[in-house]
Amino acid sequence: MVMERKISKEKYLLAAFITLAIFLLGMFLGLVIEGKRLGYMQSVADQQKLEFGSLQLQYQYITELGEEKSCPAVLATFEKYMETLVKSQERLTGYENDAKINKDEFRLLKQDYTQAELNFWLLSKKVKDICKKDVVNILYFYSSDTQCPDCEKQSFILSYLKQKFQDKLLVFAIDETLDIEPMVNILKETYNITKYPSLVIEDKTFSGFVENDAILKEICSHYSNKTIDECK
Amino acid sequence: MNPVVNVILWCVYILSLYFAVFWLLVLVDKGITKENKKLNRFPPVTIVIPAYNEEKVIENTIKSALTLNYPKNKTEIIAVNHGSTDKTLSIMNKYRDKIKIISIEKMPDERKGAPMNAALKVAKGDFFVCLDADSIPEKDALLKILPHFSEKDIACVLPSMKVDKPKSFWQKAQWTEYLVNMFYKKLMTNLNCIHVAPGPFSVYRTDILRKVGGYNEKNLTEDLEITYKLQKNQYKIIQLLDTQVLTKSPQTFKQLYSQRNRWFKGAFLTTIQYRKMLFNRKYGDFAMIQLPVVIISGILAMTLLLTSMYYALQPRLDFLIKMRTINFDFWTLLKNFSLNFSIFDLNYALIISSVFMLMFSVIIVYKSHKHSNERLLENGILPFLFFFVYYYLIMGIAWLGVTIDLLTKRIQKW
Repeated sequence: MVMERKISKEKYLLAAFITLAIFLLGMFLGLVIEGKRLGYMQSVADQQKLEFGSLQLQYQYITELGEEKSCPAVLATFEKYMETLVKSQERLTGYENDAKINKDEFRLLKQDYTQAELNFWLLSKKVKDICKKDVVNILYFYSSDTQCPDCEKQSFILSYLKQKFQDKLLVFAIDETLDIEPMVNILKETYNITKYPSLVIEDKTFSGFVENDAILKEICSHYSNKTIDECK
Repeated sequence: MNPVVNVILWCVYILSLYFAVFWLLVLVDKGITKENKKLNRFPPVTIVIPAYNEEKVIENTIKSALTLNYPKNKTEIIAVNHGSTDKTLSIMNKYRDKIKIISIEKMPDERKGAPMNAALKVAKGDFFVCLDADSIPEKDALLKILPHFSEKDIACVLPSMKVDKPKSFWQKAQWTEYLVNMFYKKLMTNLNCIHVAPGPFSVYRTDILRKVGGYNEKNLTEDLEITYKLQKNQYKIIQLLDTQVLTKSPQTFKQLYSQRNRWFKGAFLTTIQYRKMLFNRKYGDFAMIQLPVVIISGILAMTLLLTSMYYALQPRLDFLIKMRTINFDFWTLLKNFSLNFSIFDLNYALIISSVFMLMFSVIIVYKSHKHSNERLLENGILPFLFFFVYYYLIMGIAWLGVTIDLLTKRIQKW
């Protein structure tokens, strides 16, 4: 028996069209959001420049007028600004990974943030001397390349230690793939960094992944006060 | 994120969304037809009760067949004992004067198709109904179903199958599932592409059943196979929503799993058997969308299961590995925990498609309840939510089992 059976061609097409429209809407919204993210990170970067300017001003105030009694206030501000910097850096990394069309712009922003971070690093060394703050600096070199399986673990350990030591520890994370920033290469050469992750704890280089306990021991050896709780 | 997993996931999203949109279009286009037709004359009907070791329920089933609202002189009841080893036959014999009894041997690889064929051979009715031992049709079922055989090429009319007295959590989830399924099949009626006429109280035209050669006696899902056969021979199948048959459903997860394993395996193997119909224009929408869906739904369910497991477990595992590096010092992390969240962090492409998917699901589920005259949260919110969110995982598990079974069997063969 031969008869014509219906094929709802127009429904198949219409359904495909609507499905496509929904996905395009989603993608479009994704791109709009990407633009918003970029704008947001830029405004945060601008704000951080202002904050750093203020910190520098505070540092000058202490050094030039010898106002050392203002040290605690300056240190508190430093800690606060540093914290927001680290948080926005984390966010920026996530946004950069998600980015579809603004990869280069995010890369430039990352350079901006890295400069800010290195500014903080330099300033922290100066403030530490003048305010006699018992604080340990760690330069942490990682690679945002997929070839660094230990980097994630190392980052986790460092952020844990930061939470443990709070204002007694400063961690400056540097993405080694950011070669558009000459400072990154200069630091890599200075500290003889060849593999990732690598740590520089108070000018001493540790190549490759370092266990939590080893870092803890190293940090504690640098404090002038040998009896702080975290090192017991 | 793993790019392969990502691509697979997006394909799954797109396909699921596509099917949802498609069926919504069917709903919008033709809507749900009213069903209250009246029966003008009473054609002879044969009711078949196939039984294999059903001593506990067979008496009730026979009684429910005897008490259906239909002229007694037009009703023929045939109980088929399929080699039962318990008291089924002796209980049947108590009703010897009211019903016809056939007793046949059971070959090891024979299934329900065999007793059905035995009854089909001798059936005198114009219409042929199977009444499973675990199902109870409403009293007026025949009166409400028969008027729908308005055209000669309508081979089969299906009542709405509902879960009888759901008690366990799984039964309550199935209660919702059945409603939604029946609604989908009602929509399929609009395109004439129903792929299964389930056992409980589906009414057939006897002559058509004979013409297509009756049931396959070895098929795992003989009800699906007979439907494919009807589709292949260009007959029509109609789903009703306002006539109901209550059926027992699996109580535990294990029972549910083995039922679904049998269903899916049967569906998959039968579809392979009828693969020549796939995308064949001669069979209309049945070949274009229904047959592919039988196969694709298995793949969809499995990928969803595997990817959700991956996304549920991978971060946990990752976290544990990381925690080990800091000697599981939860306290320090907890003490200094601060939320670092911005609305820009969300994945909007995913959110948009999820919102639409959810919206479509809500419409379908709402309509399913409305057209079946049931309350939305009849069994409480928990089984409902479970059906809504996690039911596909169960389907994925069953399909995964089917895949493993089929693969290992093939290996044994070679």
